[in-house]
Amino acid sequence: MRRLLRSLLFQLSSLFRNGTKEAELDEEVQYHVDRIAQDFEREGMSPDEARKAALKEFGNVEAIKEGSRESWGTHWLFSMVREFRLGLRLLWKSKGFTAAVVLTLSICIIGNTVVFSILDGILKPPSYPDPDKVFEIFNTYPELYGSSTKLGGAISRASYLDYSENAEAFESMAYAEIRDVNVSINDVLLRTRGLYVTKKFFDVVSIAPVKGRYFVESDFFDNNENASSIQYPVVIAESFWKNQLGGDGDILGKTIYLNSLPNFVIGVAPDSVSNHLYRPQVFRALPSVYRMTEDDKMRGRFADFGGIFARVKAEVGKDQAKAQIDALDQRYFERTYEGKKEFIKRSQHETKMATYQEMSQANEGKSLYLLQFTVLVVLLIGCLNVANLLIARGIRRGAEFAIRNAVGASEVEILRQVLMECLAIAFISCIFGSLLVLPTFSVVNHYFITGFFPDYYPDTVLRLNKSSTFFFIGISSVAGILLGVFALTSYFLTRRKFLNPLQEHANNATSNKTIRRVASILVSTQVALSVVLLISAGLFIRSFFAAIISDPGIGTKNIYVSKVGLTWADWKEPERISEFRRRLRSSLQDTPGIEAVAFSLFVPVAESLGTNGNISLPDVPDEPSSELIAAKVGFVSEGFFEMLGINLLTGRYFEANDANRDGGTIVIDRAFTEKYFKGVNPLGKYLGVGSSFNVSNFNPKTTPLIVGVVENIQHHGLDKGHGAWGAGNLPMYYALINNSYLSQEYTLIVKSSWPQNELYQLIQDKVREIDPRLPVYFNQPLERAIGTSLNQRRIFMLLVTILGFLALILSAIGIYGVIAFDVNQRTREIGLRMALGASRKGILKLILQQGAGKIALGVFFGLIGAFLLSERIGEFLYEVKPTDPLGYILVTVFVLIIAFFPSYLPARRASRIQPMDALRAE
Amino acid sequence: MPKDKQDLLQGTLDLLILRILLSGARHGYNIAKHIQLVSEDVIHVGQGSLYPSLHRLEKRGYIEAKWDTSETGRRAKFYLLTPEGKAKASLEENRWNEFSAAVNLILKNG
Repeated sequence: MRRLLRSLLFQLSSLFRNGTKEAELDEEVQYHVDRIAQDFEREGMSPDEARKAALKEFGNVEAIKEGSRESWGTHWLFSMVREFRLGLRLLWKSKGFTAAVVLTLSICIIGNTVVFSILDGILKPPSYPDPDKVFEIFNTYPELYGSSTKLGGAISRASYLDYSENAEAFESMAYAEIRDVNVSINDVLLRTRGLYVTKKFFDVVSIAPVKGRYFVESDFFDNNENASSIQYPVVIAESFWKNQLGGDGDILGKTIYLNSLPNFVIGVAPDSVSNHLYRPQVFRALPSVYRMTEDDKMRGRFADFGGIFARVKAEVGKDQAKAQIDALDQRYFERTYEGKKEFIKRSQHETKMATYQEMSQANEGKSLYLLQFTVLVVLLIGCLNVANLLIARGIRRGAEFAIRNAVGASEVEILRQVLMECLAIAFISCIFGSLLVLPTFSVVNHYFITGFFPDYYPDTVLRLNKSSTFFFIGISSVAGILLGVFALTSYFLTRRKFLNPLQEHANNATSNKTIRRVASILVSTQVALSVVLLISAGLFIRSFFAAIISDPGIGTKNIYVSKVGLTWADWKEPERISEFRRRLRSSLQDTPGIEAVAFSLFVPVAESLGTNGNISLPDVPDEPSSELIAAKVGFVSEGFFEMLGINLLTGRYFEANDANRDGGTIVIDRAFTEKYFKGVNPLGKYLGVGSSFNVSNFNPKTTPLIVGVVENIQHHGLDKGHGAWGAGNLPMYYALINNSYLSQEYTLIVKSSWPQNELYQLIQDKVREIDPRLPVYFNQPLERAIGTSLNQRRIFMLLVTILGFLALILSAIGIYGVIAFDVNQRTREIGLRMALGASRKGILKLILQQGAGKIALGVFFGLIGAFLLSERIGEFLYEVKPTDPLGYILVTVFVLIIAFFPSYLPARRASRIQPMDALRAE
Repeated sequence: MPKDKQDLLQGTLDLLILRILLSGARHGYNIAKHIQLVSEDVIHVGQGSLYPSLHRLEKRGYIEAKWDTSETGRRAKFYLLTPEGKAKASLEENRWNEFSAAVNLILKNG
């Protein structure tokens, strides 16, 4: 035992002190040589002669040193380093091979790392303490909006008050509403996202502030929240504090204007608080929630404007908490009005709760898993490819191995060298890959994350952290191990050939057959995997273009949109706001080159619209319940339809004097007529809005009147009608932006032949003439704004397509490698066939047929694979069926054509073999 | 490679080295010279066997090396026996005696 330990220590010390040991060995040997030389000198030789004689007497110094090293037991380390170096040198010699292999592997490694890191960043629970105890509670109405696999959504203030007062399962519960606000502090003025929260919001989150404090009970003044006399406490987000305010150290207590109302900063919240909550930059108290009357609570139950965030008590499970919520819903159902009861029954309402991890799994997880699967397939193809190349290369090096074996190198040494070469490949790929990781991360963060996950801080989704580093190293090792396994397999399959290539060919027939069979299985697998990826890519491409060319229902030529944020403090009176719109509109319209100007409260097609579930149709008696009617509502100015070319079906568009009618006027779309009027002429009918509207006894003068029906337009993006990225289309009605509807944000739509940058400047100038403090933003052509709605689809399509083509290129290289190798091996056979009278055409056909066989097999299994996978990707598609035969046929033809060339080149070479040369070569 | 022969030689050389070091620390040159002298020029130890043998014995813990000033005043690497080495030396010597006695018996009476 002691000896073993000593030997181990010796080995270890020699590992670390290799330099010293080597130097000592040198000195020891030198001493010996010098002493022999001295002996010779004493015998009368000259010093020079004596030294030469001594060296001769001593023998081969290097061999003796090597012998000593061997007895140290460290020689294998030396030879491994030497073989590693030799491997590197060999790789350097065949630069093309190395570049192909290293590029293949490092791209695969990086691709996997990126997707894994995104998955990790998105799907990991938020960084709250006990994140599995924090839930979002939201309403679902499967019968109303269609059932969806998506989780998360809005809920009402009334539900919050009911649950927070009566459900004991929760340790803390909060309600929050998102509001975009004009924020002004120090010399910064911008429009950004605010979260207005109730008392316990930061208790739910449970993360300490970076600076200052959070809200306390006394921060919730029982007063009118819009009263300009009251200053409310505000918490700002860490990123806002750092990026916009330069990390101002004296931030606490400073005045911060939200929509021109002065408030004061009490604290800075870390970004981890808001990362899963729509990234607000400011948080403000929302005291008005607590002012609801009993009647408000009854009527406002389904006015879903915010979200509930709740932390369940440590000892309480999700089911128990959910049961309490359900019980409270049931109690409400028993107490409420008939109309609400009908609504709850017919809409199949259910309150749901989900943790953030559950939500991101359900909402983003699916597409990410699909992507991870895709990159893993590409890695597999890459490794198969490299394995193929290694086999071919190994065969070419068969002679080298055989000679080394003949002169005494053991099999182990040869194997070690092969493995060292694999290690060298993996090593270079890893180094190369690690150089590319950070640039790739920043590119992906910049171009993809902001488009794909707009609600996350990009840097929190994809960054180099512990798990991504581990994954990078892990996946590199997996690639290295795969290579090693493939190399060993190829070695053992071909071992007889390695050991006996000096013998006649008859012996090799079997091993050759094995190699060729293995190689062709690899090629077929590659082709099959590529076909699967390409068919998926094709479906995504076609979905994308189907979405792009799908008719948005509006014209976009020469139309530009900008947004103007009005603030309530300065622009409070309805008269002033309509004066603002009138002045801006007329000053723009008076400018030459401006064809039309209109306002709306949404960017047509690009932005989702609010849904009103509180509509009644008093003139339609067979409508069973007024409460059941839900529709998207769009607020627009006159001129909106004309400018966007939305066709009028019957009745008329909005007119200027509609604003004078007390109840206002309404224009509905075709879907609305078809769903709710069913053959009844809607013109001249009334539309009741709000829960207090009384169907049987209403005043026509103050009730909106339907004056026109227009063609449908797309809502919520071009492709958002259905599927995993969809939000569902509903019937829609339009109302005038009238004096009684106050908004903070107007979308200005301009039709103009001006160059766009000059146009934005013009709009900015015209707004400044009215009020220099109002921010103008969002400036872009309407077409681009609509295109942005396809970002998720676009990015996904791009990634899958790139990966699909990468797979195809890799497969093509693989096919080439295998068939070229095949031809090379069969030179003699081909020569013989030719000598016996086979024509060049015949040879060409022979080789091509063999290539085609492998490819056809691959395509066949690929088609089956794609068919099996189609069910999984169906929900990501738009207007294309996952089993659409066109894609399958096109990809098959495409792959066959692409795969033909790499097999044609070696086949042509084979057909040019000179029979005599081929035979003589033996 | 004729491995068996080498092994036999090595084994013998190990014994010789251990035996010589019983009389005190010596460096490589000295050991080679001493073997040559004592064996009356019959046994020449090639350096190609000597140093690997010394390093192997060192690794196995029978001898230790230390740097010291040699008789010529230069720094040289001296080898000396460890307690285990001393035990090993007498063990190997006994074995050799038994072995050579047995060989002699065969030579005489065979």
